[in-house]
Order: sequence, then C-alpha cells, then structure tokens
Amino acid sequence: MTTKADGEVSTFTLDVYWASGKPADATLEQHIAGCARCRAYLASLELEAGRLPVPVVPARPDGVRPARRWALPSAVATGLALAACVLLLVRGRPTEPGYVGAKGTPAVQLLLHRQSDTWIWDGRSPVRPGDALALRVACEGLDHVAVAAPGAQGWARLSDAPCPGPGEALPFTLVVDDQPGDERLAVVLSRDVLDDESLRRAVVEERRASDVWTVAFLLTKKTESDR
Amino acid sequence: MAGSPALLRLSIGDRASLIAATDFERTYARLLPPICAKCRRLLGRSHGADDVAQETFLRFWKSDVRDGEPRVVMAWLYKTATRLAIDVLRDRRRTDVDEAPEEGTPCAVDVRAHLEARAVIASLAASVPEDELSAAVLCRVDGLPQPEAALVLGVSERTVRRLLDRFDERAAPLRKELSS
Repeated sequence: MTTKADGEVSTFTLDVYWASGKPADATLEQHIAGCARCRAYLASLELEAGRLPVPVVPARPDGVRPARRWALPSAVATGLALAACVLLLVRGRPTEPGYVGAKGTPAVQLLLHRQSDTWIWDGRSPVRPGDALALRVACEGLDHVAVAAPGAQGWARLSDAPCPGPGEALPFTLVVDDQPGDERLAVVLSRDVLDDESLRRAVVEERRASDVWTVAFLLTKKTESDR
Repeated sequence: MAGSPALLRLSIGDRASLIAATDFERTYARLLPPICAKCRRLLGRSHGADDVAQETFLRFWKSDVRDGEPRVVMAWLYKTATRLAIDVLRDRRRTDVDEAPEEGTPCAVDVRAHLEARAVIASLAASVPEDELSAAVLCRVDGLPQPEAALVLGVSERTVRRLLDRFDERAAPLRKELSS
C-alpha cells in the first residue's frame, strides 16, 4: 500500500483495496479500522454499488481474453443489482421491456448469446436461428422456478428447479430453431412446486401474487427467409 | 426452440459465455463506484461525471488491461478517467468553486486544498497542457502521493514533480486572485 508521509492512506490505495475485495495488509486494515474518514469513503463506494443500474453487456471484441474475476467482499452489491431494474446506461431511458420487475419484486432477465457475444435481451430485437437464450432470475423469497413453452398440448414445462443463487443463470440454454414463427416462453417463480394445471393457469393468466410470479416473453424470430 | 423439452440443450460453451456476462456485471459493480467517485471529485456530482465514469469503464472493458493486477487496472482507470474528465472541463468552460466536495473523502484528501485545486484546474483547463493538468488532478484533487501519480501516468516521480512545478507556476496568479 502507499501512504503519505504522515500515515494517511491515498484514495488510489483505498480504491484498489475496495475493488479487489480482498483483505489488505495489516497496516492498511489497521488504518481503516481507526480512520473514520476512510471508513466513510469505503461505505460511500458500497452505497454507490447498490445504486448502480444493471448494465447492458457490450459485445466482447474478438481476441480479448475473459475478464479477471474480482472477488466480492459482499454479495450485497450483486444482489441489489440483480433485483434492480434493468436500465440502459443511457440516462432517462425507460425500463427495458425485456425485463419485468422492480426492486424487491421477482425479476427475470433473458440473456441472448449470438456467436461470441452475450447481452441482455432488450425486449424488442428479433432472435435468430442458432441464438442461445439463458435466463437469470431474482426470486425475492420464492423458491422454485419453472420454464414453460407452448407445445402441441398447450403450455409444456421445460424445466423445474429450485431457485439458483443470486446472479446465476438457470443451468441450461435454449437454442432458437430455424422454423418460422415467433417464440414464446414463460418463467414462473413460485413458493411451492406447481402441478401441470397450476403451471398452465399461472402462465395463461400471467399470474402475479405473493406465491406465484409469472413473466412471459414473446420473441420475434428472423429467419433466412425474412432477410 | 420452444415446444418440446427435446430442444432443451445443455451447452458448455454457451454457459462459459454467460459466466463471462456475469463477470461483466461483477466487475462493473466493483469498478464503477471508485471511478464515479474519482470523476465527481473533479467534476462534481453531475451528468458529466457519470458519463465520464461509464465511458471509462466501457473503454476498460474493451481493452486488454482487464487481466491485469488490481493496481495496474486501477492505474489505467485513473489515467483514462482523468483524461476524459479534463476533456469535459475544457468543454464546460466554467468553474465549480462553490460546489461542496463529494461525501466521504478519504483522509488523504485535504478538503480545502481539494476545492481550491478543483477551481484552479477548471479555470486553467483550456490553456494548460494535458499532462500538467493530469498531474495536478491526481495529486491535488485526488490526493495521490507522487509515486502513485507516477504509476498512473506511466512516468517517473521526477517527471511528476516537474509537471506539478510547471502547473503551479501557471496557477500562481490565479491562486493570488482567488485568495484575495
């Protein structure tokens, strides 16, 4: 760490300490423990992290290696970020239609993976054959997550599992086929596992209550014949 | 895709990319707050400061610095944010003398000196070379000691001292004016 001659700790050193999320050397830890201003500064960073909008993942440039993983000293920031509304970085833009939910309510993100890029679906852009879709959910007190799609006999359950941890995607991807026609998908979060009829009703009614929360997606599909 | 569980596929490659997307959010959540704080120290709590912070992060994400050690990453972020913020100051053509300092400044930041330096830098932004301004921002506004400013700017400590001396010479008349 770098300190000034009088033992003060620089902003840069505090920023590195906070961003790395790792314990620092004893001298720095000791300084922070005894310095109200530095503690207040670190607390302001934590507060700011809780206010951040969830960003849209930009395209990864070719040839760039995966990001280094920065350890999280607290799951609070990620939890809040996931529960918060999905906002574009552009200030003032309304909540994305690809996301349904507000802070404190269950929420679902649809991630779209095409070639080497992954981003949060914007609620409007058409999907293409070969696109891989994944789902991330903020269960907010609910315990199970079911995914359903229309089949020959009506809505069919594609998966049913306990809610994953904060920030984790459901453990599968859906791959868009090349058949013409839009795709529909429903995610139902519930307190208990739903039987088929309850699941169907929840989807059809797009039910949202304290024990069941449904999010439906309609994805337009652009196939070769549309281009 | 929809219609049949048979179309549900497990794909390790896609999962890896999705994990990378999660990395983006985690990295964003860990790096953006310090960048925002840094930009606000110079530009005040403003749209300009937030825009610079986000632009800095997006440039970082597209760069090859992402795998660097935390100090190297933070140095890169400080350097880029400083330069972008100076551009905003030059466009702004006004000073923020009356603005209060950001909440929660670390002990190394002398609040009074910080405010004076910010006003002087804002006033001189259009006429002082960028390297001098950068050194002044890092040492006088952000409160970095010269070795850290040298790390951020990628120059020697001696060069940092020289840049600060030049800046101080240019700023002397304005400081007199401000103090009177």
